[in-house]
Amino acid sequence: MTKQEFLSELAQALSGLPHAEAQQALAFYEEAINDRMEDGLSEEEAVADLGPVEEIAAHIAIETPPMRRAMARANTGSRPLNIALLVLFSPIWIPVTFALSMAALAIYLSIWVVIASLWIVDAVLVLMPLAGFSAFISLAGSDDPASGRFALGLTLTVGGIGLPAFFGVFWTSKLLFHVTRSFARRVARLFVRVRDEQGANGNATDHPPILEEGDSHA
Amino acid sequence: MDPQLKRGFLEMCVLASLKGRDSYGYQIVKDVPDILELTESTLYPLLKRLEKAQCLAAYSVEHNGRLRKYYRLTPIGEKRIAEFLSEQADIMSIYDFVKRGASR
Repeated sequence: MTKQEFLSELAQALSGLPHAEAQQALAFYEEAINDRMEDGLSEEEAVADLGPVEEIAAHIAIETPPMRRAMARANTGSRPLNIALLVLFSPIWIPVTFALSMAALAIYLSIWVVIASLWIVDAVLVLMPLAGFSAFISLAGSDDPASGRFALGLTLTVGGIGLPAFFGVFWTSKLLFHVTRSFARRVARLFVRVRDEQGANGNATDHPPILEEGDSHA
Repeated sequence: MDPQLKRGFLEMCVLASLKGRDSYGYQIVKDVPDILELTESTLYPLLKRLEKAQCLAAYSVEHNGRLRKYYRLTPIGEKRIAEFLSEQADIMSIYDFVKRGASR
């Protein structure tokens, strides 16, 4: 394959990327071929040395989040036409975007609501003996002290369940919290590159962590 | 080599290859130890990430009638190398631990 063939194949493979990004990558690979040829390789050898175009394109595309790739693909190349199309299709894309973001928000919130309700239920269980105790006191002098004792016994049992249940609730919350985080990450990954490794950014050094392409706070 | 380990080492080796002398893509590929199997397709995203993290800065130089992109190590990049080197004793203690475990 000649250099020109290689570059036009690569350009084709990168057509889903924002124009500037594709140009940068093409310049990088053109330089790589030229440098190899200066080093004594033939044009064919230099191109072959770089490996298959698909693999190269995959490495470049992986750095660009899906949303930006989708936007680049939707780009008509003409600004007025882009705006006209945006306006023309606004009755479709505005409600769809709104619905999708509301759905994402609803999923996120509902997980938190489950966490909150678990804690509330457990708190009620643990606090039940207080109610049982006041029933016991108020019924102690009456003609039905047995009901008071029954209430106290029952609520103490319930409270007894509530205490170990605390650990269950704690671990479930922790798990659900991880679920919300991975869900939020999954949504964020549509827009920016997010590092996969856990704790990669959590180290306590004072230099900025190595940010992935597309990270907003570079 | 384990891909996770390789990734960290590659970052350091690319930074180290710029120490004291600016360099360009092909030269970096040639300089970095072969064991890491660095190719341009790995180097390209790596350079972009390091540039974004301000560990290196890029500039173009005219060379034989074309432009060649050079990379220069920044103070942040130098610091990153120094930090990596300062961890050497810790890393070795991990190897020692694994070795002791393996020989038991």
